[in-house]
Amino acid sequence: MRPFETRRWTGIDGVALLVGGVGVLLQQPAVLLMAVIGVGFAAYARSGTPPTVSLDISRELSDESPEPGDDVTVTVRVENTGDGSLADLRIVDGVPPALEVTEGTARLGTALRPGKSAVFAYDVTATRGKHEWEPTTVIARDPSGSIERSEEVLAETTLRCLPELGATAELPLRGLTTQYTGRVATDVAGVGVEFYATREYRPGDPLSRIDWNRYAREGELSTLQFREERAANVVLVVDTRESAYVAPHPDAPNAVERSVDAASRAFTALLASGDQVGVAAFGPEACWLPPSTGDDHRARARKTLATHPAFAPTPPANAQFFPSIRFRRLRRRFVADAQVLLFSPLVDDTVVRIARQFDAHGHLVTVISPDPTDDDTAGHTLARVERRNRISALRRAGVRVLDWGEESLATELARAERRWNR
Amino acid sequence: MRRLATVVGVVTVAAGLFVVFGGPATRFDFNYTFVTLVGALAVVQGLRYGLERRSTDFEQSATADPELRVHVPVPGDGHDDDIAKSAGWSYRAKNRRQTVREHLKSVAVETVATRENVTEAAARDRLEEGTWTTDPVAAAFLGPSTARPPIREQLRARLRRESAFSYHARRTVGAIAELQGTDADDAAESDGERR
Repeated sequence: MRPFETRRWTGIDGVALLVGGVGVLLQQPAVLLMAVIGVGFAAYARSGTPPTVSLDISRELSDESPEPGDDVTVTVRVENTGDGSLADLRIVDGVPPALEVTEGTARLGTALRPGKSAVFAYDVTATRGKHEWEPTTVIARDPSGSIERSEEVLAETTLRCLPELGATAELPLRGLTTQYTGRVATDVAGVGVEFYATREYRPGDPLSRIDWNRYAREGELSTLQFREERAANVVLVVDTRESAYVAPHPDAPNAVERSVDAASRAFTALLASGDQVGVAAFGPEACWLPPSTGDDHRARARKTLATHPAFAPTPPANAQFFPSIRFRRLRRRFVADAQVLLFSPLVDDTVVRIARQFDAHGHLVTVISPDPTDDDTAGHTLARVERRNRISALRRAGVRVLDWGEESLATELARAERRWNR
Repeated sequence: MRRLATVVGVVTVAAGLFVVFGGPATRFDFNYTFVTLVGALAVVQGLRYGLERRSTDFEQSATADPELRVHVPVPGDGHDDDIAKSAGWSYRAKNRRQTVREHLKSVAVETVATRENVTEAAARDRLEEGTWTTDPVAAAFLGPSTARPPIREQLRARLRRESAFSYHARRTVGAIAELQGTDADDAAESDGERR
């Protein structure tokens, strides 16, 4: 940026003139002499030249891939690679928007002679996602502080925080997809445990399947058929539109963060019960991980949910997209009997429409909705009322909704399940 | 430019010194009047420059707060904004009041219809009649345009720091929220959720 005058010394020449003038009028040599001090300061202020900033900034993280909630120490080294001294240097580090400084400060005020370096450090608390540091702001002034220059220096640093999938994933998801643990009971006769129908005996049917009671009663051979069970195909759709980035208060995690957290836990639980699970984002940035099973798939999903830009913990920079087109593209990739777990704060009507469209296309939809509303002002209360009306509308339409408040997801799920099974 | 100004200044000072201390040919007559005039001029200019400071702001680069997490809005910030901006006599404020009222009305209709299990038309009728709530302010706010809250309430609204409209809107939102109830699970049961 171009250097500019800070006007810090404006008025000093006035003081010099005033004191000098008074000295002349009163014919007091001592007072007149005092004006020299003012002249000196005025000359000092004018003598400054714009500082040339030539800095080399490097950043070091104590851990580049921490667990969520871990404290990471960031050490920043600033070296003056230019020829001139920097008498007044202020540095503000470009901490990624989703990270918060918990210990120390991300700023430094110092003076640097050529070739010398300064170091400062601060702690940030890691949150899920891929966090890139933004350019560091450097403000330099000449010794008298009358001219200032502001520059941005980029030092690329990335922190990747991938939450572990698994260990803590104790979610009672039985009621979430179907009544059978991860299995869909189909209306197809085949291999299974539940009685489905009987049919006429055909040569080759196993003896264990013959309905001997009927044979004893009527003397006719017939074969028992069982209901075929199939692994459910579940797609976790996370609402990542800009409007979903809301939180009840500044310190709370926003609805997208909570949604992704819930999605990753649901993912593990569903995968463990034998379902095929896929992941999709409904937002400006597209993301699609086709339903599958296995350890490779688990690893892929972990990486996708943690670091894919679609699931970033901060709102997208370019939020333009067409929900209906995105919906159509998404749905085309679904298999016919895929179930949908939609994670959304339900703060507008678009997502309600999307949920009902999924339902209309024959997918079993369950909405898991982290509650981002508050009731401290009239507007916030109104938003809460509207959201509850949306939930009611969805429930009336036969879509299951889990209103996830402050309690843990597992608790809320257990409660919802009781209701759903009634 | 700066360098040129410095050169001009130095030359001027040198010329002045030469005039004062130079040979007898350039010698100036420094009587009392002249010196006093110079002193007075210096005082006036000094005052002028000094006062300039008062109207000059110190300029410096502003820095953001990268230490803090990015702030996301709270749902309903827009509604609060609308209500806050709807005070006053301007055409725009009047329009905004109308929009806020219509919006509250539609939310109230939906809430009444859901809660009381009636059709939207019936809910609309209840709003017109003002029988949907026990709060007279809310009833009048969403009722027919001729409806006014009781005198006592009107006076209370006048005595507040916030605008009467904002006070009434707040009461109305409170009434709708009260009608809806607090427990979402109760709501679920009356929704007759079936699968």
